[in-house]
This record gives sequence, C-alpha cells and structure tokens, in this order.
Amino acid sequence: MNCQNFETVVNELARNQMMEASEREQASLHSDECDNCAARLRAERRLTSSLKELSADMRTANAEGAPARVEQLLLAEFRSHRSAVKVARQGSHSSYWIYAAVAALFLVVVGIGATRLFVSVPTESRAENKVIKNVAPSPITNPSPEVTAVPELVAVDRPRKQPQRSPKKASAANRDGLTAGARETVSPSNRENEVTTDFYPVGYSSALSVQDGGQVVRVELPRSAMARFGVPVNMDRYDERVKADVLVGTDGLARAIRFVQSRD
Amino acid sequence: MKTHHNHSDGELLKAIHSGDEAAFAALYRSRQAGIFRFALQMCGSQVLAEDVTQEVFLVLIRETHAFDPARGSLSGFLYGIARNQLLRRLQRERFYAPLEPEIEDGPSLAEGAGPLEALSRSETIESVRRAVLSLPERYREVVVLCDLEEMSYVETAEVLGCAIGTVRSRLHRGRAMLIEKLRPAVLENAEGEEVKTARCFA
Repeated sequence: MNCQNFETVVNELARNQMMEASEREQASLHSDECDNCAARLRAERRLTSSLKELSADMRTANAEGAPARVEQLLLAEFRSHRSAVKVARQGSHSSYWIYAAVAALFLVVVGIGATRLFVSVPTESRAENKVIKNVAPSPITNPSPEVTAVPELVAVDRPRKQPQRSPKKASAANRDGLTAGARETVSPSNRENEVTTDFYPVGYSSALSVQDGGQVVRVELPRSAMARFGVPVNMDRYDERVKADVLVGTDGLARAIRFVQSRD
Repeated sequence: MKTHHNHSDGELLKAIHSGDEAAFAALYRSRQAGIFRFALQMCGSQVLAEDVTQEVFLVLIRETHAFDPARGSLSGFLYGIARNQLLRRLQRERFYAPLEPEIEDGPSLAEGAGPLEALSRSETIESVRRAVLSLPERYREVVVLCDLEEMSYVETAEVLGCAIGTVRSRLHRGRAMLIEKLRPAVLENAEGEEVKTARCFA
C-alpha cells in the first residue's frame, strides 16, 4: 500500500469502521513505515476522539431533546388536525351519498328513456321487417332491392280529399301496367269494414319520391298478383279477383300497393 | 391512552393516520431527540433547532402518506425533512445570523473532573463545536450525521439523497478541513506535532 491508497482508508481506520482485514493490516504496516501517514492517522484519531467527546456532550446536554413545549404544541396540532380530518371525512361521506343519489336518479332517467325507446322502436322495426320480408318483385315494373320506406308509405295513407281522377292519371296507371278490372277511390267509411295488409313497395319507388305524397286508388287485381308480393294465396280461389289500394305518386307512377278484404 | 412502546414504525404510522394520539406521542418521543440534536449541531441555535424539530413532525401530522417505506426508512425520511428545513432556514437567515454560535447552557462532560482539566476539555469541545459549525453545509451535514450522530454511510446517503461514494468523499474532505481548523487549538497543543497531509508515495 502506498500513501495514496492509505489516504483513501485513513478515515475508516481512524473511525474504526468495518473494512477488509487484509486492507486494515496493509494500512497498519504502511503507517509503521511512513511517518507522514502515521501522523495523518494520529490526527484523524484525535479528531475522531474530539468529535466523540462533542457528540457525548451534546447527548448529555440535550438528553431530553426538544423542550416539552414543542411536544405540547405538536400534540395540540395533532388534535386539531385530527378533528379537521374527521370533519372532512364526514363531509366526504355526505357528498358520497349525494353523488350516489344523483347517479341513481340518472340511471332511473336513462332506464325510463331506454324502456320507451325499446317499446317504440320494435313496433316500427317489426313493421319494417315484415315489409322487407314481404317485398317481392313487382308485377308492374322491374324489382328494386332498395325498396323500403314503409313508414312514409303508411304516413301517406291518410284520409284524403276525394280526388277527381283525371283521365290523364288513369292513363298513367294503365301505362304502369296495372291490370285493374275496376278502379275506385277509397273513402274512410269503406275502410271501416275492410281489413288491409301493409303497403308493399312497388318496384322503383324510393323513400324520397314517396315523401312527395300521392293518391290512393282502389283497384281489382287477379289473386295471383298477391303471390308476387309474397302474400299467401288460397289456390282454390286462384282465379278470383282481389281488391287492392295502389298508391300513385304525383308523377303518376305506382309506388305501393296493399290488398284489401271486406270484413263481411 | 394506549401505549406504543414495541410497535414498528409502520404500525405507528398506521395508528397515527387513523388518529391515534398516543401513537404520535410515542413516535415523537422516540425520534425527536436525534432530530433536535442534528438541527442543533447543524445550526448552533437552540431556537432554530426547536423550530426545525417542530416543522419535521408537523409534516408528519399533515402528510402522513408522504412517507413511502419502499423508498427508505422513517428515520431517513425525518432527517431528510429536517435537513431541507435547515438548509432553507440557513439560506434565509444567512444575512443576519450571528457569526458566533450560541453557547448552550447545560451539564458538561468535564463535570466531576478537576478545574483545569474540566476547563481544557470544555474548551476543546467548544473548539470542535465551532469548527464543525464553520464547515460549509455540504461537509458539515456529513460530519454531523456520520461522526456526531454515528450514522452509517448508507443511512447518511439516504438522508442526503446522494450516493455512498459522495458521502465518503465529503466526509473525507470535511474531516480534513476540521483537522486544518483545529490544528492550532487542539491537535498541535495535544502533542505539539505538525500534521502533514502531503503524500510520500512510499
């Protein structure tokens, strides 16, 4: 060991700190050989001794540590803090119940809303599904797979003023290929004695064009036409005619059709 | 009031958090003396040491959750707060702090010895005290913790938030400065020899 190495361990040596036995032995041998390092070690040991005396003096003089008034102050602070925390906790408890009540109220409102939505939507969707299921190629025109918009169709199906059918419109219906044996307008009084199917979209009609409104025309069709819309047909009465309401748009084209049966 | 003599730090802290005053009193009584001495040795002022001790335990009251056992011991946590408080106070009061540290009244180690010997020992102790107080803070705190409070390097590093190597090097430097300061008063008077720190590379 040289003096540089000795300098790195002189503190531990003087303070009797834990160190490797071999290192301690080498340091002792070096201090025996080197006067400067021996004096350095003695100075460090005297310093250690002096510091220990100071430490012992401090411990004796301040055996109690901080004065009792500090403890009293701290205990008073502890009590006030504890009561403040209790109040805060109680506050947080009450606010917890308020939050819980608000959350419960919110859930109830959402539940009611969802229930109403559930009750109304399925009705519409059922009708929609039914119509979509019954959509079949129209006997009048080329079938369109995009035909839907039954709600609009139903909405159009309201009692209207008895329109005076103009020859022009009649010819438009003929042009569309409606094989009507007879045509008549539908009056509200007639409807009371009738059972009708839903309106089935016809061919190219779309929701947008249906919104334009139109006219319902009572026609008679061969029963075989019902099969084209997916309505079950009694084969024994296959040749008979059946009444139907055709919704004719303002452009004179057939939009939808429903089949009518008298109650009696 | 319950007694908490044999409870661990964790148990005491849990009890303190739940509002147990006895637990707080037990923890205070077991820790305050060391904190107070550390503060007193660092600043030399009884009043400041009291304030710092009070502040340390106020932090414990107000922020019980601030202590994380995973990051170190409770002792290290408390000494760390004390050290931060001290450095802040010393920084603030640097411009109007008295140059001479307060001399505390109290029983001396020299009591019971002969008058001359008692005077010599008390003078020596006082010289060492002043020398320690005159050290720069970074060296003073290491000397106080390692030599006066007899903490290990690991504990000191935990309090100071630095590496063990830093503690060792600061202690080495601080003690060398103390030897230089005390040479005429204590070390040379004792044996009349001159201490050289020059290296001989033998």
